[in-house]
Amino acid sequence: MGDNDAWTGPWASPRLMERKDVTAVKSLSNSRLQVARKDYGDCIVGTMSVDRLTGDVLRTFLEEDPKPIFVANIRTAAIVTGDAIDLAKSLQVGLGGFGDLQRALSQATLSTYVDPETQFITRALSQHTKVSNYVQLDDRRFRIERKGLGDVVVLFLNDYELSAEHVRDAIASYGAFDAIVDKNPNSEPSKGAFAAVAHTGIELIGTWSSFLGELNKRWT
Amino acid sequence: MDLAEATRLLKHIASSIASHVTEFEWYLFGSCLGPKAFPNDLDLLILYRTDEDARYLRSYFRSTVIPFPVDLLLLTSEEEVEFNFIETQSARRIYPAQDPSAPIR
Repeated sequence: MGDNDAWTGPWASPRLMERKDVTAVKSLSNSRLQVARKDYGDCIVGTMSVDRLTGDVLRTFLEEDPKPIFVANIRTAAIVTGDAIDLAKSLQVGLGGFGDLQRALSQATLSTYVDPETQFITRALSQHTKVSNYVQLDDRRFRIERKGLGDVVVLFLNDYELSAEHVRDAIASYGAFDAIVDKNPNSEPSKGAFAAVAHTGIELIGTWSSFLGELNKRWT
Repeated sequence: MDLAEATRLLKHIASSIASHVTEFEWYLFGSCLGPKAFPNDLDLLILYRTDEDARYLRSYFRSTVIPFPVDLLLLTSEEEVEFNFIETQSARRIYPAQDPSAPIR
């Protein structure tokens, strides 16, 4: 564990104790907590704070004993690379932010936890008649293969206020993609957000229903 | 760390990096202002002036260890007006200290 993570266990502990389905939280180290649950068995969770969670970072974090069944990256808006997601799946370790940990604790099995956003996206893609396959590239991007149309790489955001800065930061942080979809039904991107994608070749799609319609069209 | 301590730290950070940007205003909003004893994060709005300022601020928060999670929203003053953000979110300004003679907006 790096020094950057040392605050995360003590930070998470009282917040987990506030939960009605948690009966006790024992600190095993600054990044390992043993959580006793009312309805299910005890579990060990890991806490960290990194801006970019890669496979290497996760592998190093998991080398410390005891092995957690779930790793919560407390840092908000962190990037989780595809190899970290793949590693977590292969080692059967649940992965997410602190909100994800809270949701996972209410489930019998934490190791197979999938966050609601990913569930929503993958369910919609699985049901779309033009989609033949999809691959999750990282926590925000999916490569979508379409029947009779070209593949597209889409970055999904879920912001109440999609700003110009957020769009520019996503472009700088996530590398190549064809479109940004703001899937929050209660929001609309700012004028500056649309201006930020002008001349980049990236399409900004402001609603989920528009995105589903665009998947039927040749857009690249 | 409680809200008062966290706010003090954020004010200190704002003060220490103010010379690196053209102008900014910092606001807290969201669940951290509610009754919950242990909010999951601190929602921080910074109104910025230039794209360069925004890049600096994003980079600063990425690279600096702050002992609580900060959910950072960077808006221009035009976007703030577009979203009517401060009013609808009842955001509370923490930096600079309230001074009606020198707002960014």
